[in-house]
Amino acid sequence: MAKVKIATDWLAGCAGCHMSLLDLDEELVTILGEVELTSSPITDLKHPPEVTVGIVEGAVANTANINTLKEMREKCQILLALGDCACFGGIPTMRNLVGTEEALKRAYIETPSTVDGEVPSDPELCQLLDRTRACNEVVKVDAYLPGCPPSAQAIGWAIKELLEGRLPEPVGENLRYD
Amino acid sequence: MSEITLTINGKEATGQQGDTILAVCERAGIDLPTLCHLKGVHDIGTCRMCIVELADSRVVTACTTPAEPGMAVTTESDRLTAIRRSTLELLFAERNHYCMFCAASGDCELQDLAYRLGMDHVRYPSLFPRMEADTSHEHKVFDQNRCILCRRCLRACSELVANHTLGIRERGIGSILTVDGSEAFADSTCVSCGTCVQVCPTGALFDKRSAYRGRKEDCTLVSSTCPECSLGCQVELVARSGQVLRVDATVSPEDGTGLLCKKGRYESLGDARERVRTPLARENGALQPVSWDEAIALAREGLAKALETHGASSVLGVASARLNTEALAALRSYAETALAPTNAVALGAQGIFDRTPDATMPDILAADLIILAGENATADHEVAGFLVNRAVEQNDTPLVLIGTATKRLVRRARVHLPVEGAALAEALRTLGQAGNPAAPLLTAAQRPLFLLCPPASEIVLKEVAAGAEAGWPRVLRLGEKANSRGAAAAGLPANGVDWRAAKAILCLAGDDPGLSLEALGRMDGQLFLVVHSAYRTPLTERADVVLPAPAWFEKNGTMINAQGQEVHLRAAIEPPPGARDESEVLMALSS
Repeated sequence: MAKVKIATDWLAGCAGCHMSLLDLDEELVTILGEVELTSSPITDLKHPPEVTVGIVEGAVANTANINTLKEMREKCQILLALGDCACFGGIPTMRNLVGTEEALKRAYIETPSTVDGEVPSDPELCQLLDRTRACNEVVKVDAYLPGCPPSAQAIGWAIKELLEGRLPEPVGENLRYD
Repeated sequence: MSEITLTINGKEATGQQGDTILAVCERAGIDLPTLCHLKGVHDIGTCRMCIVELADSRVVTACTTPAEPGMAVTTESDRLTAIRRSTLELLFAERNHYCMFCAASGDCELQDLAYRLGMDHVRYPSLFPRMEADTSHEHKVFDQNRCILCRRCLRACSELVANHTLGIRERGIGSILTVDGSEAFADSTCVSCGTCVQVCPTGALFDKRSAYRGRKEDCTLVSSTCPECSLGCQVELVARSGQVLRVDATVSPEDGTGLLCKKGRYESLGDARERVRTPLARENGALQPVSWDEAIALAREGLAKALETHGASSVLGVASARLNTEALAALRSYAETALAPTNAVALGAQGIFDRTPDATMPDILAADLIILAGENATADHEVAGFLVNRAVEQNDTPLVLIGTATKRLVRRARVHLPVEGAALAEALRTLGQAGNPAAPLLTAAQRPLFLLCPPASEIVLKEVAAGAEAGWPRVLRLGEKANSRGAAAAGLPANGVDWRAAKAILCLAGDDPGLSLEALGRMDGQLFLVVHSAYRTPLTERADVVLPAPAWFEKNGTMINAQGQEVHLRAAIEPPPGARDESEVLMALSS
């Protein structure tokens, strides 16, 4: 049987969910017997081919995140939001409590160690959105696995559910928000 | 009350007339999800988690719907789950409910419910309203962002503590919890009893000291007794990694009773005080660290010298009536063998009189007349004050105040006799006599309660004792210290020794914050002073030998509270390595 193609990517996140994926350790070898990991921060390939499962970590905080997320959505049949940021918005939404402009001013101009600071405005850079969002506010998401990060065990469980043709619906130990 | 029978999930369940559907479910062991429901306060049905379906397919909140005979109730269905899940998602979307940076994560009822209902995403965009966190209070933080407007805090503040500090402003989605309308906690009428923090289901109200230091499941929970006053409120010490993080009130699962005051919840851990960590002895006028053996030898030598030179009556054993009964009994037997038996006292010990049946705290709410007597009555027994205020507010119980009390109690008293000192006794004795403004109330009352605060608690009430056979009137005598009654039971009086003649004093202060000045005020002239104390105090600074003591949360023992009940102190953590308890010290001194 052909291996199931999976692509992963991260948006506004901390890489913690991918670290947790790697924490599957030797179980990864078993999983990779049935799965082909295509584009991913782990393989350092940036653009997903056509895949069965797309996995994204992180919230949508800037225009680049929107592009990455939309590209993943177009290329995958099933999109799994991995971790609290992708599922709910998470830590990057703390910015929403003060507003983007205020957050930029604080970060680039007002910090005590900053001298003559300015908010970066190079046209090459992506723009921060007015507020950070969960993935399902931007594209259709098919399955969710919250956690900060989700445990390796929960990620392994979710992948197995997908391989068996079910959309994971985490409960019990597999459902955590911290 | 008559019994009623209804059907819940197809099975017969019984309840009492007047029960809510929720109460019947609880008794039948059916676990309905709840958030705003809190034992001990009235239900308001704000969170909509306890919804149930009736036979006519109406969906109602179980906590506010009376159970009726013959009712058919369904507590679980796809429809109910869908509604609960939607409501829960709306709660999450309304403010900031991200768990990973919340102090309550792991101990949060909102989070528990989301787990229970399998909430793996929220279908509504979060609103992120700009809301403030009030960090002004010394001991707690109030973060509006985490508030779900369940009003548990508000109801607890009003109905359990009778303090009415919290309220709600605005309407609908704009509703916010307010402190005295629009004050910061620090500038408000808040009495810092911390009940609001304990009842908050989320991280909206949290304790500064224990925040982010471990969820409850990672902590050791130890049941003990608050040593701050003679009420002996039951507490749960929350400890982790050799530190007590927090003192929680032990709340009765049956009726939700269980309160603490600021002293018990926050100040009893002695954070602001400097610990005695090693034995100290005076050398060239200053206290210097010495070993335990040296300290004991010096103490023994000093005490023996006074005994030899000035006789047995010149050496006093003094303890705080805050110490546990075992420590006090040890001092009593030490005095019997090493000093004169009559030369041991416990400051704050209660005198013994022919007791009427002991009243208990719930009797304050059950009484139909409260006679409150004392100076600054209930100031040192705040929880009793909460209950008196509740009785007046909720039951319209008439209050007769003899002496002085808070402005609020003075305002609430039907009769106030503002007397002091010896006049207190006279006022109490003549209470029932014709012409006394309180006499008609006393005559009319079926269940009068005498709540006697120091110094009125030392006044013998013959009239009260005479009427005791009927069970009422009852007397709740509040002692000066936590174990005032235990001290009396251990055979230690509060007075009766000649402080002026003392040439040496062995003082067991424990962790009592008040004993230092009380003892210093009685001492006179040159004397040899040994102080066993958990903290540095003016008394330890005057001592010749200082011995480190464990604090209340570091030792086991028993006390007798004002209600006459034996209550237990249990160690939540190890004492500091240098500390030894009273019995060890007295044994070392006698050997």
